[in-house]
Amino acid sequence: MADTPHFLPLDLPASAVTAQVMDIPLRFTQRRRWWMLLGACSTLLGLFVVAVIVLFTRGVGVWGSNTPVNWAFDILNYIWWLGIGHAGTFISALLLLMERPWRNSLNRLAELMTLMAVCCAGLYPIMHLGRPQYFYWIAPYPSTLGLWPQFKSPTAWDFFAVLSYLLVSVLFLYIGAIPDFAAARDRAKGRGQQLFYGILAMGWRNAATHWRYWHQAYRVIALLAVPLVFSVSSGYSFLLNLGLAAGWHSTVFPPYFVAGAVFSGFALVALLACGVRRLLMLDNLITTRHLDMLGRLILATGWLTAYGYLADVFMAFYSGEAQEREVTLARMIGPTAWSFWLAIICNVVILQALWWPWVRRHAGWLSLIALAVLVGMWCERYMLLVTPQTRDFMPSAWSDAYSPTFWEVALFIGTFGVFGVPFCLFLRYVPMVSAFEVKQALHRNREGA
Amino acid sequence: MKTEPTPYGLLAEFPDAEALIAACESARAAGYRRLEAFSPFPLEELDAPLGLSDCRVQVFALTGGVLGAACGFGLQVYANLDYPLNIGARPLIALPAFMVVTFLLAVLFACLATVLGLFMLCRLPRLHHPLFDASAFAGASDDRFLLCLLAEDAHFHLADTRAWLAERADSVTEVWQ
Repeated sequence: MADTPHFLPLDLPASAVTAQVMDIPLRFTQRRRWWMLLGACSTLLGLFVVAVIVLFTRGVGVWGSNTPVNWAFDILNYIWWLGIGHAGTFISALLLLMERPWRNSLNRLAELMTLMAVCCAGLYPIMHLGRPQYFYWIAPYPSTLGLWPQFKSPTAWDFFAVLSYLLVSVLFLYIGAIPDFAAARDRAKGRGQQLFYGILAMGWRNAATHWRYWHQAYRVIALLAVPLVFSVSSGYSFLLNLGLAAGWHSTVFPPYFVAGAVFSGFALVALLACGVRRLLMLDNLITTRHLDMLGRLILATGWLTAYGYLADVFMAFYSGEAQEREVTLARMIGPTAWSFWLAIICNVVILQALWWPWVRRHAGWLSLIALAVLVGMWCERYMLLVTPQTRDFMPSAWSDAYSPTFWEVALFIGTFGVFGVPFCLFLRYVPMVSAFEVKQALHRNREGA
Repeated sequence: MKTEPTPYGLLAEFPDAEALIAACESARAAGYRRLEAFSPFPLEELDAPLGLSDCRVQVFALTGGVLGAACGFGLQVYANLDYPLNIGARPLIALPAFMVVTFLLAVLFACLATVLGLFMLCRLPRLHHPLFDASAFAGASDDRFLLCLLAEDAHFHLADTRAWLAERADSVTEVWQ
């Protein structure tokens, strides 16, 4: 294992990196496994389409959410997916600014993950509307109704947050991939491939002037993306502050939500990194050191999230508010206690296995722990979101009647198809490792050595 | 009517970054002003010999950010004045509540302006370029380092420049318009 800042062998030639990364989209070999993956994801996408058709024709009544539990799978999954997206920006932007060259092996797949996770998240608020065809009413435009969005509400902020985040993620991903598209264009043999990558590269020429402006632009967007991540995930914690339920007003919420978001996102990055290096045989570029680093990040952000659990529970009892205590007790010993304890088991207990270096470096074990974290984070969102609504201030409104319906669950499972199908296409057509940044890191290190 | 092809420039190929940087410096010293270097990744050492020192992308970003903040804030003020709503007895122009959208639009506009600036300054998209016809050019996205001395340079002379480059480079090719 190479002991370099980029975790790659010091003598890895630049041409080998180009050949390996570019030949994946240009001369794709894993066709059988890829088609199987695409088939599975397409099935899920089909399920999503059916669930959406049922939802749109019969209305949101096909879901189990009903007074007092008005926010259930829709907002829960919106928060879950959006949180996952944050890790991609975190890896790409923050680690770029902190000059951690090992990020170059992971940033492309993390950015693609962000893009699709934000799309999955962004669909939910539209689907949970009673009349989804009017979703554009949340946008400020001079309408004949004479109305404007209510700008003092977090729900209006949220529209801007998701929209900005989606666009900034797309721009960051695309600007970061243009030089690699140009490399694919230059290496392509077939006319179709040359045209496809040629158009995507937009005539990029690797000129020093291009690089200078590119470097400036890339760093500027990275610098802007980092505070954006913090504002988006603290922004949706304000959505809960907006509600009049006890248990949604803890002051720890914004940082707690940021930590949880990045935590779940690192888990999915680790899962995808393990899958991608296996499917595309990128073991030499995404090394076990990279997995080790992802494991450490999961562990660290996991502890930040655990602090959130602790602070949230502590404040409930410290506050002296009977209602806060009631909600916290309902979370721990009520009918939805499974979600609280599953979150604790997955996010705190199982997580501790990552203290052992061999666990972090073993793709199989790391994937299992990452999967546990994703389940745990979903349960955490359930515990945070659903339980307080079952314990209203007025005991006569207490209800444990909420349970998700078939179409609610089907829609959620279907979003994995929304995530998976484009991701399969990216695996096939986009260079999954940022080859030019890897080459730059290799060059700089040789210089320094 | 067949027109005489005009030279675009001479493309020289170098084995590594150091050779390219040295060649850029000596070309600059020899009086060449219209030159362009190509490398598989950003080389900050090239900025000085190529006379690149501007930060115009940052200017685009700043302009976009200020414009976005102004639009975001102006939009909310206008919307609230145009259709006043009493929201929990907050002031009509509630500055803290308006900061989120102001910030988000500042970031969004700054990013859009940055990308716009990048494309304008790089003169992209430009799907075809004379350099793409040179077979050596594709190496710049792999592991080769190239220097192109443009024919529009007052100092450029096809034979002399070619000889000058051949002393330093691995290979020299002519690029035609």
